[in-house]
Amino acid sequence: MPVIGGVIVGFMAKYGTAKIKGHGIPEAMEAVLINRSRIEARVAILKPISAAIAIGTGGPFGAEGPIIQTGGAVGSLVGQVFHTTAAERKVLLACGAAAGMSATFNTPIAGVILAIELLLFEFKSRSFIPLVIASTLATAVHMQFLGAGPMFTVTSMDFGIPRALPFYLILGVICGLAAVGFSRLLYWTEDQFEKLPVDELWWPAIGALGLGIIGYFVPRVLGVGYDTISDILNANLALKLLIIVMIAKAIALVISLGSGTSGGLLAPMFMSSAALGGAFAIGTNHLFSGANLSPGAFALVAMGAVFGAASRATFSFIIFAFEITRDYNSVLPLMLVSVIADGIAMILMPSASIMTEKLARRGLRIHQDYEADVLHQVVVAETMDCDVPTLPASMRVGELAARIAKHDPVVSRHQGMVIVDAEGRLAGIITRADVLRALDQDPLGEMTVLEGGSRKLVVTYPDESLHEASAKMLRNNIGRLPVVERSDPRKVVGYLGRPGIMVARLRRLEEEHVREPGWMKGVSRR
Amino acid sequence: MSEVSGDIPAIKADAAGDGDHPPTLAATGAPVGDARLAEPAQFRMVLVSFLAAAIGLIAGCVAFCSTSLLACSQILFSIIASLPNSPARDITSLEPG
Repeated sequence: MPVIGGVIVGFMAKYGTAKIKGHGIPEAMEAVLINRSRIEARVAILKPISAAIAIGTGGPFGAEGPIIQTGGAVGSLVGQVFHTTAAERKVLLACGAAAGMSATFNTPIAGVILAIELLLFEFKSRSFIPLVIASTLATAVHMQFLGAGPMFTVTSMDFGIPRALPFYLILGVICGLAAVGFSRLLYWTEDQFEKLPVDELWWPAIGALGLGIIGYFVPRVLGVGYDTISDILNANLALKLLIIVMIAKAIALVISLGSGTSGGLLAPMFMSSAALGGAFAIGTNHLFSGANLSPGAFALVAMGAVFGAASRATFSFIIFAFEITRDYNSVLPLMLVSVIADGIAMILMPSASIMTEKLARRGLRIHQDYEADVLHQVVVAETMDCDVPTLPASMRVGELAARIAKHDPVVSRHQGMVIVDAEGRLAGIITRADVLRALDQDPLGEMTVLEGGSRKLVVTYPDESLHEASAKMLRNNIGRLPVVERSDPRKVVGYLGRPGIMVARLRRLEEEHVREPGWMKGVSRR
Repeated sequence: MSEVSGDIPAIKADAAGDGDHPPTLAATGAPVGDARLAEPAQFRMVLVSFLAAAIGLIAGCVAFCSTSLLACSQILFSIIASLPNSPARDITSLEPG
């Protein structure tokens, strides 16, 4: 049966759209990063159908990744109907993705944070407000049709704080290694499929054949497996079965997904990592009779930590794991284990995550951290050159060229020079390129600098942010701006060139890399 | 008469580009100093929020439909799979527990 599903999905990918391949979130990221947040309508139609076929025929996937991608496609399509900027479309796409996640799992907060961490890479009110609105309404739809309860109903868990903290530390390391190992195994499997001497149309069928063999021996790996996750969280599975589920589900997933079929990654990874956490707790209880760890608690924590570390969306999955059970006691161990796992993943897989590896291989550098832009924080007055090189409007271009040729420090310091009238007020600006053009037209250089330069000026103000000043430069394709008084736009108070912009970056570099002497002299100076 | 403006584009290109061939972004081919940037569009938060509300409702319904489609697909294929004796009969349902 999985082979039939694989063949159908293979044909849909070949003759419909290749965007249905994969687990959904990287494809949504790709749309944001490469396609200016444009997703084709056929993706919104074919993705859920292909996922339903892949999962319905036994594929070990979840529906959430495809639903996130479909939701993103809906957001993007709405954005394409109206005249929107790429930034507005990006927010709308993220709204659709957040809504998809919220409506699938009844996890509105995690939906919002996931969209911020994996799709937007910004935390601004302008995007946060629409995200919350979309997520809230989508969750309301879920509540209307499927009820308001948590995704998984679990019996009361004993998280064992603080007694079990040392074991959580160890679990964090194991989860980090599992996240890295799983990510590498998935992409290694993809590489192996690419080496196969058959058309990629048949890869999903070959992957499904492998899945069918595993499923024959371990039927629990087939399908979404939410009930198995529920069993693990409620500590209903024995150690041996947990180990079998953990390994078999992971292998079934990498074989199936690596073959390029369509299906979500979240649910199967949750099952495998929950089994890991449960097995860890039961195994530890066998080794240390006094440990008395709760398999359900460790399963829940591992579930959030492994996916958080693999996707580098740690915060999202801390919240997610909390929201699917709504047990507030889980927050403390979840935070601890998730950040340890994330730290391990950062060390071992510094440049990409399970979400970004595919894009990184295509040469895209995906920076998942975000911070306030230093150009927003620094005003022009802080970095402008107050000693403005000025030229009288009557000066001849030939004279200026001669002074530049002699490396006169007044006219050689900057590419551009401010031209002032007889009262010393701003009249224009002339650059070296303007001088060359003027000499081309008038080889004797009789033209005045005012005639040779520009009189329609773009200016900046001392209290304007460097972000606004640099935007003026980019919009107008110029490299320098006279700085004038806001109250008197012809009174020059400074000069801002590109180095003035870069100086702001220098401040951030100093904050990052310059260690300042502390009270303890001679200790860790290097 | 000189004109000074905080946002009027300069007539002449300077050393940032040579005027005829302004620099472009390699990724998108969009020219730096694109004329469309001279009147920058502001982010319309109110409009985007209204659209987000619509998207939330639509995406919520799409998610429900997708989940239902998946459930139907599972039932359909498990019926087909139950004809011969296959472990695929044990495919689990979408609902936990």
